[in-house]
Amino acid sequence: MVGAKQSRLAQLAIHLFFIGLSVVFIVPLWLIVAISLSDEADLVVHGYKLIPMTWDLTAYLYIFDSPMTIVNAYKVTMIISFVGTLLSVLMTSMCAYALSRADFKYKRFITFYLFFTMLFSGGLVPYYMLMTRYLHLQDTYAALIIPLLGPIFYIFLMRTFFQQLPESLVESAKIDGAGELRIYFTLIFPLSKPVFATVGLLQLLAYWNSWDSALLFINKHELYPLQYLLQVMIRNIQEILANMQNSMAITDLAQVGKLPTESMRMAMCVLAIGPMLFVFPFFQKYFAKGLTVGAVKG
Amino acid sequence: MTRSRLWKDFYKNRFLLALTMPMVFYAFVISYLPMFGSIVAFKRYQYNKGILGSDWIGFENFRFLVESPDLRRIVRNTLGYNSIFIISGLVASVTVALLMYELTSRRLLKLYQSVMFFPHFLSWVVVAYMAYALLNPRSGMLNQWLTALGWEGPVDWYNHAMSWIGIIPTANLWKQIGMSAIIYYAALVGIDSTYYEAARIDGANKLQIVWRISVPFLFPLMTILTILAIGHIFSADFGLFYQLPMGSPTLFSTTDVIDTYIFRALINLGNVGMSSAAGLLKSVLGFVLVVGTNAIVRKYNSENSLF
Amino acid sequence: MLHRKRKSTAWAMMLALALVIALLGGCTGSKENAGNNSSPTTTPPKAETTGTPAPAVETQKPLDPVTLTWYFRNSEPNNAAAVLKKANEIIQSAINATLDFKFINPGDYDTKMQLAMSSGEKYDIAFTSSWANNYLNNVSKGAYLPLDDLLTQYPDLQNLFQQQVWDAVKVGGKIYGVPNNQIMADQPGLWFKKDLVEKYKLDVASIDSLAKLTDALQTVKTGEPDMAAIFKGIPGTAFRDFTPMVEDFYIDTKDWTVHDQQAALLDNYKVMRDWYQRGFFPQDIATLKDDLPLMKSGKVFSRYNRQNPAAQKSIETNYGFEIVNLATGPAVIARGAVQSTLNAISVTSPNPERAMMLINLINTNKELFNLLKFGIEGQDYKKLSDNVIEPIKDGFSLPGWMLGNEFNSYLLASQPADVWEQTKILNDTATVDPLIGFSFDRTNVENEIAQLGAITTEYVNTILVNGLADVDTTFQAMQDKRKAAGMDKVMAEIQKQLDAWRAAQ
Repeated sequence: MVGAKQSRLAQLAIHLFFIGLSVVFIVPLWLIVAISLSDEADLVVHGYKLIPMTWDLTAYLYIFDSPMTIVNAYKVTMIISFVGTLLSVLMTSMCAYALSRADFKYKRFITFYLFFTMLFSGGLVPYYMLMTRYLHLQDTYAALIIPLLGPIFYIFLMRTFFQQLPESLVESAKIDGAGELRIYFTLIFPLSKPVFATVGLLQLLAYWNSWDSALLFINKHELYPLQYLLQVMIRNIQEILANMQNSMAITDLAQVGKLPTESMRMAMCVLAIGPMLFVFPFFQKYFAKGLTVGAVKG
Repeated sequence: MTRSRLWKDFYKNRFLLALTMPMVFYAFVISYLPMFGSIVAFKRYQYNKGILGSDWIGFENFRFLVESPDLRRIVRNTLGYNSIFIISGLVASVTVALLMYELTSRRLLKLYQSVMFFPHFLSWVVVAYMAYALLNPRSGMLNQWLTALGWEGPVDWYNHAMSWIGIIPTANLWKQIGMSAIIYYAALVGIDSTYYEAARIDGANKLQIVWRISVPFLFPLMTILTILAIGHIFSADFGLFYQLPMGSPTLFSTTDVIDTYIFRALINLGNVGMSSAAGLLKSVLGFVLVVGTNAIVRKYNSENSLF
Repeated sequence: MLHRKRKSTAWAMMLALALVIALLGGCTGSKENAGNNSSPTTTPPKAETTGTPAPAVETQKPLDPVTLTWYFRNSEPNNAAAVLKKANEIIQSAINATLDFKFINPGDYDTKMQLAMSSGEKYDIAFTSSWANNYLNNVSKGAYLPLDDLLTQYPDLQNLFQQQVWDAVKVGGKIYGVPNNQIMADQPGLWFKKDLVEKYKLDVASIDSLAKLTDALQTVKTGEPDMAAIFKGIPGTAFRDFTPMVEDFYIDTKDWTVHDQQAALLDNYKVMRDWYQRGFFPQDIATLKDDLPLMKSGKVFSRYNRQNPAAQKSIETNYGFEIVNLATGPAVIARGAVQSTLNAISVTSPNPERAMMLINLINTNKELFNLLKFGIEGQDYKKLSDNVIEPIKDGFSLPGWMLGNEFNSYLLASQPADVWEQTKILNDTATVDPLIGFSFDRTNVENEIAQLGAITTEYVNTILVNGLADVDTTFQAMQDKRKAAGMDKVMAEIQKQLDAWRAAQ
């Protein structure tokens, strides 16, 4: 009885802690959404406010103005996100599993080989030359997917998880005569759902938000992913504004006055973060406790 | 004898090797092939001569960094902040993850996790603007609260260098804690709950369970992440140090790091050789540190080490 | 035993890897060299050329069709395809070439150009300047062809500019870029809000010193405490004679010796500090990023601004209030201004002669120029009169100052009718920088310049120019650092090159 009361108190304390902590996160998030929905003139004169003085959809309208471009950008981003995440989780997890096995002879060498690439890089120019001159990947989906396929960090993350699965599992499976691939797919994979979910989520979000590869390799507008398109929009606005002091530039003033810079910047964030909040719950159900219950015994 | 031994090992490990091959090949093409281009750090790069044809100039390209009058400051700031980040990140993320693990309400847990997670995906430009809304002397919210609480006068945060020793780690923690905590949480979820049951039967209380089971279980993960972070200790999150202080030079004594210095020095020169040299130097130093740290860790527990 | 074998396996594999990398590296190198190697001194036809370049003067000889690639620092405008089609009709009939614009978003331009040049990509023309895709840096890295010989074939183009202007784009005695004709003279100055000038009866024309300017600003500040008297500090000298500069050092034209510009600005900085303490600057001047909101809200009384004939009208329409201008120095033609918009021909161009023809065409053919600047009549703009047009919303438009000869451009209603005549007068009567033909070769002091650049960025741009901190201590700290970074070495190098250049004149 005492235990139950204590644990209820403890629960309450923990909740209070998280509520307090969440405020620090929710307020800025709310601020971002509020700014994206504010009238630009108000922002200029009165600064950021938690409740917009005038509700205004200009930023979003501006972004969605040419529907073809943004709808297309969504399509591109979704394709590269799903395909890329699937391929990369597969590739990195296979490698991580092999590296986690104590009896793998080449473990140390390959770990070092992969780790080395985390620190050393040839720089942007050789990489660019490789992708465009030798592999001819400019203006292709491959150029958007390949650069993010093999983050070494996740390999080490997964390796650590795999290492903590009981060795007896693999041994008993081997005694039963299972081949390596069978072991991997039927045994390791189901037991590692939390880590697959984590890495899958992080990769999906990385692809969703990526724009570096587009900057380097994509010239065709049809292949612009979402984040890059938004970056271009904002930087074009900044360019127009920067040219205003250059008095030789042609400016259509009615348009310039309405350019929603601040609100648009925040609208971009909302478009970047928004989908994540929908995707997150899907992955969260794999963060379930008790996956390995009885694994040792069974 | 040796030959057949080699082949025997190869044959025995062939499946596992096959599992690693896609990744190995990928790393070779994407990372190792371009790596040869880092020789440009030792050359005076000319477009019309290409990387191979340009002249060798030895260590000339390293001078602008190594001989800089600001060298002590930028190194101190870089190493100092990264150390604070590593330690504070570790302590905070593990603590939060443990607390998350104790929550019984799954719905609220999902909410907390989602909310804490999003800052990781904000660009520092956006964070800098929000911080500005908080800290600016004219209309910043922080100053308004302070005056309401009786503090004397609005503080000009963007001209007060010392306060950034606190502001920067706080901002960094805010941005990273969600993701780090989730990683540790995913690890905790993987603990076989029979361990907990056994401990409870033995009469251990909550604190003991956490200290004796959960934390040791997280130890390998903590070690790996720390070692990896140490490898990058000479690199700073450029966005954080460049955008957040809004480029205010009066703050440089506490906000200028190696990467912001390099940016400032090279931005008008566009010198590929020099920027490559700077990158190479940072990589080599980080590498040395990692190998050293890894060796130390290996002495204590060879399973936790990186390699 | 086993241990050693495992180790040797590892080493063997690493060695094998290294060999493979080296081999492939070798291939990379040779392919790259083949693509990049071209002698920068002459332009005889190369093996890869698809068309036969026309010999010196006879344009009547039939030319083979070629495509010319032009990197342009602007996002793709609406109706680009239609406009380009029409433009290519003109271009094809004149020089049998097809123009292919590669539009690059301004924010990405520098990165993309650097990558294109580094990877030896074949293109013909690119926009370059002192502030984007840096001209001098690119020339020193061998990216562009010298154009002296080609230019002699096009007297119309050559005569667009006086000799001194061509001198301004010379590096090592050779021309590497064609300027786009626009305002060349640089005249520092300020604008003031007209309504406040009238309210406080300020005699702007009589302001000829910093002291008088301070008084004027103070008058306004006292009367309008909420207003910022001036937007930012004044960079550089004001109300003084022109002195030529190299890097961050000025040349005393009496004895041609090199001096530290920053030391000469010390008095200036003290005035700026005074202004800061009097509250002339906007409150968050240290961190101000977007100036448009502040300007449009009318909370700024004056601002430093380059003077030119169209500035007044343009600022008034952009910001929405009337202004009065004041020049704070003479109009000078210097390297920086001339280099602010150039078109250069790449060393990797397969058809440099044809590219030059195109540049000549755009600069001399009024119809083509306006087509590429404003688009197609009716679709992208309305003609108000013979030479005045009004752009149609969401129509095609490109910045003419990146294309070619602006003097051929149609006028907008917001521009004064004689804007180009006035500009020409300004260009012709402006003082020419005596060092306009001198190009400083940074090679020997690049490291020092990098360090010095970092230091001046830290101290000058924000702190000293806006008087944010005590001048004496800040200034001394900066000078100490600059000395430690090798300032004297740079000055000596400049002196050496300057003396050599003068001796050769």
